Amino acid sequence: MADVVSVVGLEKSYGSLRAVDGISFSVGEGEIFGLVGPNGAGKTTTWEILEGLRRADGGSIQVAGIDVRKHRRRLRTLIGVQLQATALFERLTVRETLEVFAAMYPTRVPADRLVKLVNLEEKADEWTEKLSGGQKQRLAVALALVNDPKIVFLDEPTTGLDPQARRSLWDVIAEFRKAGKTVMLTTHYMEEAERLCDRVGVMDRGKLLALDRPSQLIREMGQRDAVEFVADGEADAFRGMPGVEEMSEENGLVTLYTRRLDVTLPAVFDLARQRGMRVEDFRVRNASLEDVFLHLTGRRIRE
Amino acid sequence: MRLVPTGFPQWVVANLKMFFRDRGTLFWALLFPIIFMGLLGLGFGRADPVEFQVGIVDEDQTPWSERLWTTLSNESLPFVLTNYTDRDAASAAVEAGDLDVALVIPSNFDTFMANQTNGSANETLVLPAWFGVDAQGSGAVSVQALQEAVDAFFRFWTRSPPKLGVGAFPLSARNLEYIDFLAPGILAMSIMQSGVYGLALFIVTSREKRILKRLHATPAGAAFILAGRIVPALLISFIQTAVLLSVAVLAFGVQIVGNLGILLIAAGFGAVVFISLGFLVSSVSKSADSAENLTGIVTLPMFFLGGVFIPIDRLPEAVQYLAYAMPLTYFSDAVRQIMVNGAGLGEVAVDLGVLAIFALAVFALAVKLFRWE
Repeated sequence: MADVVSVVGLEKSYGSLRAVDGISFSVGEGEIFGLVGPNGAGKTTTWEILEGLRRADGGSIQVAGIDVRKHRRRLRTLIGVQLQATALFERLTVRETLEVFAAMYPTRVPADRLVKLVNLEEKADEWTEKLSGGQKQRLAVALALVNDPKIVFLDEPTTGLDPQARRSLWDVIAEFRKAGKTVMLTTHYMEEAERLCDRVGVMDRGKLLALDRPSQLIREMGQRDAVEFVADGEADAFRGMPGVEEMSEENGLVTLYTRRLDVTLPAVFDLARQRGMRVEDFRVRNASLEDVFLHLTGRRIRE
Repeated sequence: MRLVPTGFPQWVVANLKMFFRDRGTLFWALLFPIIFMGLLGLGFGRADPVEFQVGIVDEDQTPWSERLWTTLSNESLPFVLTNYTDRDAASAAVEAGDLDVALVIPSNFDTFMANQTNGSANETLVLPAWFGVDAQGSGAVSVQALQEAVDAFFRFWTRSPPKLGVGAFPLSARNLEYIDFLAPGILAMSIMQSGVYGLALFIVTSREKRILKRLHATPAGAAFILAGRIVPALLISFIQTAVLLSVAVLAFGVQIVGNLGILLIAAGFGAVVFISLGFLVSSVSKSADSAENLTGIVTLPMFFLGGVFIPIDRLPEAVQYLAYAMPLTYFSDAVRQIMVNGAGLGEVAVDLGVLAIFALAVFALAVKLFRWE
């Protein structure tokens, strides 16, 4: 598979803040590639540099075979972009919005096709100010496709949406893969990355901490289960318990990672009973990308 | 490069749609100036003049003509006297509406008065005069007032019944009222308002909502995006011109003396200046709120001092300097010269030149400071 995006040693600072701190990765054609990480991790800055909206301080960036630092204008005809938290022209209809953006490109996709793709048929002739949040986001994503781009950049497309609206957007993004497009996605929803992405880069404080298939990232942590509960006492007591390989505690929420549920679970309850602690919201689950992030950074991604 | 970039017509059309879908803009651009013109025009337009503008052509130049002059300039009389050197200039001033009446003191006035005071002559003398015939009839009234003043003068010096007449010839005069001054001013002001607001608020709100940034991610450049917005702004200026002129002519009886084509050219110059100014405001404003404040700061002084309501030469001298630093002063003057005095392009060339320089400087600065986000 040919690489359509290739980034080596990308750097960008704002004053003394190193927003992107020398990251490298490449993305193959037709891949859905995700960057996950908390707000301020540098995901958006990275995307905007790749889109030619910001200039990098250092590094080499090739997107669709174009040196982004030299040919920004040409790059823009080849890629599709959905920016984080952009608004739309309120007094244009959905169809007019798609048409006026499409008109700016040499290659144009008919508005009707995009309206259908993002399920906005009923709203096609409504002013965009009348759309719900989810509908606006779907339109913003459709706008990234008006020029039939090879590469589509989506920056937190589902942030702020309710679960149902989020799922319906996932379906749309999954369609992109069928159309052979390369999708570049950022999100801070781990479930979203696990569900959609072929490969995921975990980003924090401008650095790429890990990069692999979601299942592989989880596997690299070991085939572990996560035991989670809220305890009202001294949480550190759980650290040295049988079978526990790693533990985290945040605001009373204790997470224990173990390969030996059979020994860890009874020990948790024994300890709680001995110390007279209350253990609530108890659950056992498979490790997820969320746990990978926790493992790598010692912090949770907050939504 | 193609002559018209891909998608530019569509972009212009989209901007037009957005503009006409915004009722607020339409109100401020069209309805508000009409209401304004109506209120001010009706309020001040029909006021009776308390003073008559009288032009005196003194062909006599003797102590006697000086005495008559002194009598007429008596403060209790409703005359404002202006000296004219010849009859043609004075009658032209009547026709132009600058004077209500022009009075000639003929060269035999001295002899006539000398004879009358000696009681030696029985002849009469008629002082030639021209008065303007207009809707208000102030010309005719002023002739009557002059006759009474002249009679009083004659009686005072001769102690005999008046033998000095005012022979008044009517001239068809332009009936200039405040509305004639006001209408060009309102037109200029409206073009200023919609020019500055139209572009500034669009750019700033688009930037604030990151729509500009999204547009930046397309192959369209800054010039493309801005030009697409400037076209509807120019169009609305021309629509404003047409609508306001129609209302002024049909509802307020304003006469447009000048050429409509020249008026449109001037309107275009003005629109470009104020659109540039709006662009500059948007380039230096951080938010829609600050853009709105700054727009007010920029336009309000011009609103009051830019020759819309008050002629510049009636302002205190220090304020006049300020007024001449404002583009609206030149624009309202150009529009007024064309509408009221029928000025041609040559006569408003200085105004238009100043506007062009202003527009270039402001636009260049705005481009330099322009930001996508």
